[in-house]
Amino acid sequence: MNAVVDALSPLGVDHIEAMPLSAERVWTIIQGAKSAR
Amino acid sequence: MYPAAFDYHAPGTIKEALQLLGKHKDDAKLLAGGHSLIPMMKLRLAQPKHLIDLGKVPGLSGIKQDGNMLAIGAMTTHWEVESSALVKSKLAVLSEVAAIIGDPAVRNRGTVGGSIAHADPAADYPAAMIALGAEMVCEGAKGRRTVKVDDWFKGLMTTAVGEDEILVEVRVPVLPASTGAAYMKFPHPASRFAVVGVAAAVTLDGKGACSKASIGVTGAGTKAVRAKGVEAGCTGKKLDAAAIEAAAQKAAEGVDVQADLQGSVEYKSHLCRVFAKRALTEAVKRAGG
Repeated sequence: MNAVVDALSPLGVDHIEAMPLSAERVWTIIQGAKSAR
Repeated sequence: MYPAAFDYHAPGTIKEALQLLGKHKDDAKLLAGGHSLIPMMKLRLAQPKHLIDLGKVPGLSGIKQDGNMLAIGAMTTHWEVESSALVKSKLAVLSEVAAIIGDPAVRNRGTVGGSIAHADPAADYPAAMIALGAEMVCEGAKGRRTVKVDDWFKGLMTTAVGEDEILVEVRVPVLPASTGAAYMKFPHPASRFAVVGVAAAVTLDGKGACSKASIGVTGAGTKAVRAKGVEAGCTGKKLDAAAIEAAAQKAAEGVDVQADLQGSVEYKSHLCRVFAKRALTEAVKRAGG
């Protein structure tokens, strides 16, 4: 979890609530972070 | 779970198999490897009263060249396709597709005809068959007929094979000159089924522009389909990275993308575009572009 948050931190992600980190969930988080910028 | 009770038949000829099929019709299912059908029977998603095993029918397996086609017997296993020297030399992409189906047990028992007749929406061969322009040969009491791949997949696990017919052979054209083909998939981590898989065959003309593109998509919808938008986006263009990117954006257009346990419609549409781009990039590279 911390590794993924770290990897996504340049996009402004500082925490992830839901597990497991499936490919789709990570993709959705990235899309959300991009559109929030 | 145990399957529902059924009678097992092991015909010794195609004629005998057709007679059994004609007699039991909807109550019968053909067994052609069983790595899809048997699990479905155990889950009682399928409850055929009669199981007709094609394993003892001679002449249904093997790969031979017939003009510009590879004629692959329906009962040829995925491993036989994967390891065939003929396939590797004439149509290497098909060997690559076979090599990433399921797991070793599936590849050793599962068959080309079984997969194509079962038409699982997430199976690998269907996308490749669409991209390569295959033909299916069905045999019935009245003889044989050939169905082009674009007329084959009708819907979820439904094909053009008649209820009294058996798919006996799959005919796949060898790649023409200046043509490259590739299959790229996002495999389900446990089953190795394609969450989304895209097969691409690209022909380049003398100037390096795309004269023909043929793209098949599996996994996304209820059946494998041709990505016509991507094909149109490629034809006539010099397929550099930007042109491939632009064409691949159309990969989910015209596909009835279904949300399932593997992903939402948006995510699977995204995978269509990503894997169309990867398959096209590799196909163009192999075509010499």
